[in-house]
Amino acid sequence: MPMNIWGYVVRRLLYIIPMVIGITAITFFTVFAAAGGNPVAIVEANDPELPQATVNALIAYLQLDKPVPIQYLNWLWNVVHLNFGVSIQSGRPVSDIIWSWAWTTVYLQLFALVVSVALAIPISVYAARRRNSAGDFVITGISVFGISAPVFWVGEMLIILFAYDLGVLPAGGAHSLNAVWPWSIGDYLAHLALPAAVIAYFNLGLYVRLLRSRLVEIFQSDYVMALRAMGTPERITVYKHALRNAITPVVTFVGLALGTSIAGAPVTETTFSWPGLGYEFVRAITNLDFPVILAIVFLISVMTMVSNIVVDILYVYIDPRVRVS
Amino acid sequence: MDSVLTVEGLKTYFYTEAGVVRAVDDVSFSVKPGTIHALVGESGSGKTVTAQSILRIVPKPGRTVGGRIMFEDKNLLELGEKEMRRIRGRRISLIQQDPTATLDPMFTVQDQLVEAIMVTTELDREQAKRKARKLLEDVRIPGPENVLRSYPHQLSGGMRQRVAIARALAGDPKLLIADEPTTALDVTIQAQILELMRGLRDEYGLSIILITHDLGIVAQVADEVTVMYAGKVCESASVVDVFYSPLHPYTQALLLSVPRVDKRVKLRAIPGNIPDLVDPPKGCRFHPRCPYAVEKCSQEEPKLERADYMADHSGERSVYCHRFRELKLEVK
Amino acid sequence: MATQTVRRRSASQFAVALRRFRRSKAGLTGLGMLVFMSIVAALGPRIAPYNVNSNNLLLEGETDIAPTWLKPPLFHNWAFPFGTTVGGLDVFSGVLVSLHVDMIIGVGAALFAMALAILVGLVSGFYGRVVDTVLMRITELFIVFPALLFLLLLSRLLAGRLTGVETILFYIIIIGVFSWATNARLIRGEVLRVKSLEFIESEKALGASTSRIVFRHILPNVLAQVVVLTSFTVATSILTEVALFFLGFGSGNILSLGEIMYLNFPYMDVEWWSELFPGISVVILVLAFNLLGDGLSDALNPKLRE
Repeated sequence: MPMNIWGYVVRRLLYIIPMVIGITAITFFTVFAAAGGNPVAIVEANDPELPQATVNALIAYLQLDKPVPIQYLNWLWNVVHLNFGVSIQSGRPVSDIIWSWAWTTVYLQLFALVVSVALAIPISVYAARRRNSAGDFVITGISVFGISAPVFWVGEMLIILFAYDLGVLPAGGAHSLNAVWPWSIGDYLAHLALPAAVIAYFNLGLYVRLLRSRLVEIFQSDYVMALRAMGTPERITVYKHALRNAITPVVTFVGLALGTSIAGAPVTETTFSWPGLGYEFVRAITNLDFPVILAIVFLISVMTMVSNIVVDILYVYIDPRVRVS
Repeated sequence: MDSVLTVEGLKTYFYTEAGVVRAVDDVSFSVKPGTIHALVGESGSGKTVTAQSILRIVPKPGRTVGGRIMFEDKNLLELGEKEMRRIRGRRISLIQQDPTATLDPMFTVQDQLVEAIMVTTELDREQAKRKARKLLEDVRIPGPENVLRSYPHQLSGGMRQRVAIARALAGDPKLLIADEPTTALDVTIQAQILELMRGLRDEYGLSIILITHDLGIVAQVADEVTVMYAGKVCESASVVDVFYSPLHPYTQALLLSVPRVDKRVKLRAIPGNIPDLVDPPKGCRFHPRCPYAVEKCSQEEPKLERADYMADHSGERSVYCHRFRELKLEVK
Repeated sequence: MATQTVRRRSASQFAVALRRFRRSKAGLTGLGMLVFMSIVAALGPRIAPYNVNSNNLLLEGETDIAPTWLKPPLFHNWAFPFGTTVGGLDVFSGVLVSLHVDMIIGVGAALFAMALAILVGLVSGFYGRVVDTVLMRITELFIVFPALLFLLLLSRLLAGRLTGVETILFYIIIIGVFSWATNARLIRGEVLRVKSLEFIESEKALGASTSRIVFRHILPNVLAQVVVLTSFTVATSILTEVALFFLGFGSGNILSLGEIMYLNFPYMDVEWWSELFPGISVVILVLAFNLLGDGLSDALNPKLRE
């Protein structure tokens, strides 16, 4: 890759920092504002039986005696050192548990991403080439349905069908209790199937719509006509040329969609009781477990931004016009 | 004289929601070997669709519905897709108007040339790379190595058009169809491209169908001309004949509407608009705008009339006008 | 040079767009579905056969009943067409009564978001330079912001204290706040495109007085895209709102489709109807706006076909 691309990469990575600071700061201050300035009070009000030791730990971690901006900076400082505090719910240090949650979320999202992109390409090509045919119509219909149906509802319906009625797939969780990686890989895959299918279906709808319309445009372009006029085999015209040109905006879009999907984890993970960041987030806010809440917001923001950047880099790599000399 | 390509009664229609567009309606002309044959007309006259019909790449919802196209003793319209693919790029090539859009922005010049060469010939990749370089030299591009490594967006318009021409020559075609190759370029570059075409004709005996709406270009490089209007042919003759003694009123009107630097001539626009091709005028399609139209013109479509006796050099010309014998068209 | 066109009747832009819309299968379907759902939503509370206050209960013995028309003889008993829940809620009535809540929140949030998006997009695109940079940074922040997380947090912290109407307003605002950013960026792009069109230059050359007059030229051209975006934004707002309620972070004092699904989620293994029918209603609603958006897009930005 040309040297200037590395410069671009570094700049984008550095860019994450102010964004994440912005996001976490806003979250931090909003929490305090909504809590009327005293988060401890509402935590205690929420659960009067909380052990005093836990409350003390919270006060110490958040440095509640200091002014709010200092509190934030203090929290930020802790986070940079990967000190996410102690969970109010469980009393355990957050950094112990958060990484396994993060990994669980990540591998589900990545798996769904790969499936949806792998399927989107052939489906879109088919639909674009046989434009306005019955097949195209069906594909377009399924795509628009996919983006119109709430993800959790599709999930529920699939759970009801496959887990309760047919009993072939598990209803939730990432793996059975006694399953051990990697020997019980089948078990892991069985649990992965439904949630990944649901996430993939929704995103597939988005990708197919975009990719298909791009391909239709490109099939009418001059260079495609020139290729046909040269007698180039259709296979090369479509997969080497048309697809490469069509994919550029789609790549950016996939990145954004991945980011949104990660941020939307609470919904899918709750539906499937999938023990990832989203699921834990829902539990955390129910219990007003602030250290966990802040930690998850932080992590998810970083993950979202990283996926955006990876995609931006891919885009520059794919499209030669964007590489500034 | 033998022709390299003969189009007879070509009809290509577009079946749209608004009706059937008769884009090319009974067009005939023939191209002599080693000549530059211009297809002239306003936009919408059917020139591009004719080119697409020859190569059988008319986009949907268009279809060629009638006529013959004789090339190398075969009727192109009767060939199967597989045989057509052996013609495209290898025997007949196409270059298009917009040099920016005609090259894929994602690949280097070398990638695209090598691909074209490997698609149209039996050469392997190494041989193709060498040929690519040679092609660039043929189209008079200095410093071909740099250009080979470049992406289309890094080249100037004129350069891109040369690359497009190089690509079209990859398969050593006998006939090149150039659809408005200079319209998107500025005048100086235009001259170079035309010069290049003349060179290709003279050195390699390449036959070229040059599609254009610019009479100036026609005068500069073409040997023969076919004038088209609204999907029909008006007349077909050598350049000299058409320019100095046109037989069709439309040709005359075109010539008179071109500004001239050497004389003071009143600039006359052609009154009226080009007709709706879904519902064209009855009879001769030009008659509503023709200053010489008579009753017959609105009733009967003019047929092909040979006027060889009125041809100066080549001994051949044809015209589609009821009144061509009586009209003495002046183009001072 | 005259360009080739197939001669047509009237030429006003609006009439042309309308004609194209009428030819769009997607658009018409979407519009039809929307009209239907609006009527149902409006009449819903009035025609619902059973009362559905949050503490409602049907007559004893009428809890947890499957859709009655499924029992043989098929399609004969329509007492509870969508079944009833464990808690004694008639799902059909529940859907009828809550439909308008989802629609109001969805449309309200979208309108609010679009108003912000137009403002930011226009100002940013038109004035450029510093203003543009600053606004775009802010916009970017909102685009990458993990919206759902924040919405959940806000709902958890604040929603409990609100009453009925306030709740609806609350959701309209918070959902709108996270929907404007992407649209703002798109609108700004459109403004930039229009700005560079030739006729703007000629307006300036004519001495068009202030930016206000130019607003009158730029804005109408951007309007086409705005209309399309609005329809799609309503669709996403409804999905967001339903998700929020589904996770249990509604305020508990209004009934919505998402809320119904939340309440019955634990029982879905035995009560599939209490999740299916509210869900289908959401799908129809969102689908309507998506199809409408497609139709509007076809009508206002025709694809190159000729």
